[in-house]
Amino acid sequence: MIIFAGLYASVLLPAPALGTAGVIAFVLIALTQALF
Amino acid sequence: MLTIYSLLPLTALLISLLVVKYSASKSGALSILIAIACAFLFFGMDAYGLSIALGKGLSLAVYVLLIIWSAVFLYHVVYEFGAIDVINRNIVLFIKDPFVQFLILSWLFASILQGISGFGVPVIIVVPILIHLGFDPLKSVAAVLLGHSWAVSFGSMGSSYFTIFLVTGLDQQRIGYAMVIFDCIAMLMTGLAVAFVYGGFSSVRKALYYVVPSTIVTTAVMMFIVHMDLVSLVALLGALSGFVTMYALYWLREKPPKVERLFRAELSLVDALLPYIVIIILSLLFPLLHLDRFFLSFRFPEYTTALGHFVKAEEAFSKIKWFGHPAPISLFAAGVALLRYKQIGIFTKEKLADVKIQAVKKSINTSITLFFLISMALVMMDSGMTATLADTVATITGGVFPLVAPFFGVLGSFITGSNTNSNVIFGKFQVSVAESLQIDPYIMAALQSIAGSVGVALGPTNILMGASASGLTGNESGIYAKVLKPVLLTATVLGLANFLMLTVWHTHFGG
Repeated sequence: MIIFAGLYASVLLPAPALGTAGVIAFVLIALTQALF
Repeated sequence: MLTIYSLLPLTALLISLLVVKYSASKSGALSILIAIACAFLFFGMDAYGLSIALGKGLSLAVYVLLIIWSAVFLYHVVYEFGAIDVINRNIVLFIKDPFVQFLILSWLFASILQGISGFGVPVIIVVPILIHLGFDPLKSVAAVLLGHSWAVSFGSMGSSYFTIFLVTGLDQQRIGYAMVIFDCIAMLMTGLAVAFVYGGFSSVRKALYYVVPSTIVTTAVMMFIVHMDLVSLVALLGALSGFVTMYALYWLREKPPKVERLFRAELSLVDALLPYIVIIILSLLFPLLHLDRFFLSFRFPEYTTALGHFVKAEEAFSKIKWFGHPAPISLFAAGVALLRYKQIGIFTKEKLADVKIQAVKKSINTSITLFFLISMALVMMDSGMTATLADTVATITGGVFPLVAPFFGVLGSFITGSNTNSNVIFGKFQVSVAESLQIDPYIMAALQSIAGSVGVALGPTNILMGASASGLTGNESGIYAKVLKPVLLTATVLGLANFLMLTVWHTHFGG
């Protein structure tokens, strides 16, 4: 939910740096789920 | 080459689920990672585009998950406080013929439960009842898996139905009309399949007396409910009308003795049915009050990938109506039921805590999987991967595609165990192929959803739940063997109907 809020804020503002951080966070969560 | 890259996320999903046998959530995570990598490396989607696609994916996931969470919570409220047991026992009081019991419970009662809750609940509830009545466990599991599958797409308060119009972006009601037509075929086929499971072709002949009229009445009722835009009630009221029709036919033929007294435990039958009565009343009431202006939605800007794939801006994406979305209605119904249980004196804080724990346990894996799969579908769509894949499939299969299209829906449910997930994965793909072939996208979207519905009978979670509910754990291959042929036959008939509608009769739902 936090990632969703971050991603949504980044596209509305727009704040590409926040968007990149959101994408990275999402990828890290998916990686954790895929590996463990 | 781009076609191969666009196939990678789906191939990874297939291999990790079926070959490596990872859990659905792990496979979903793997697939979204591959989708992101492919979109970034080969389809010219930068971090900004990815943040838009993932933001859209997560907002759609929230929409669908609100329905799932509230439906699961409501189910556990009525289950833990004994309402489901009261409903079950009263049904058995009214029907004495074993064949009619078998058919009505696995084909229609299971579908009523699917309309309310879904997520394996019909299998968990109805299979033990059938076994308790003396039916063979393997036949019971197969019959319930097949019997309730026609109701999956409109079931669970409409979560799969909502998904297909959300991912395709098509008009909800028009898809609904087309879905009812395909669902009529699916309902007829699954009813006859249940009869076949019971006793071969002689039972199929006997079942025609019940199955054909019940299907006709159900189809008419579903069409009316779609017309009234009461989308979360289509399966519930449709299956209920089929149930009443079948019982009326049974009563006319058999003239059973009058039931002297209804079964009641701590709850009466009316108390047990209370939350569902509330759902029906609220679903009918809200559209009349014109409360559509109270909603939550998300805005997303337009975006173009480096390869030139244009994604239009969204002004009100994933619109959640406070007085129309199924989640507030289900939660209100659960609240009313809990108040009534308190009044009767059976409410305890411990039971409510149990309900919460069970609801969270049941929803957690589905939620994680759905977050990843919906995000994958959106990344594939916005990056242009789905369009690339659809163009290639359209070129290779050409005019034959309408015949094979249902097998994609079945495959999606077979892989993920969920009609919603199947629609997420293949919904936009089917519509993109339809657009490439210049055939009606509404019919293809509807076909996808109903084929996915039928395919749920083969879903690994449902099969495992059926095996555990019937004590057949370890004999899952036996269940697959009983269910596979009827599902494939139904998909073939759906494909033929689709082909006739699109290429012979040139049917249009697109206006």
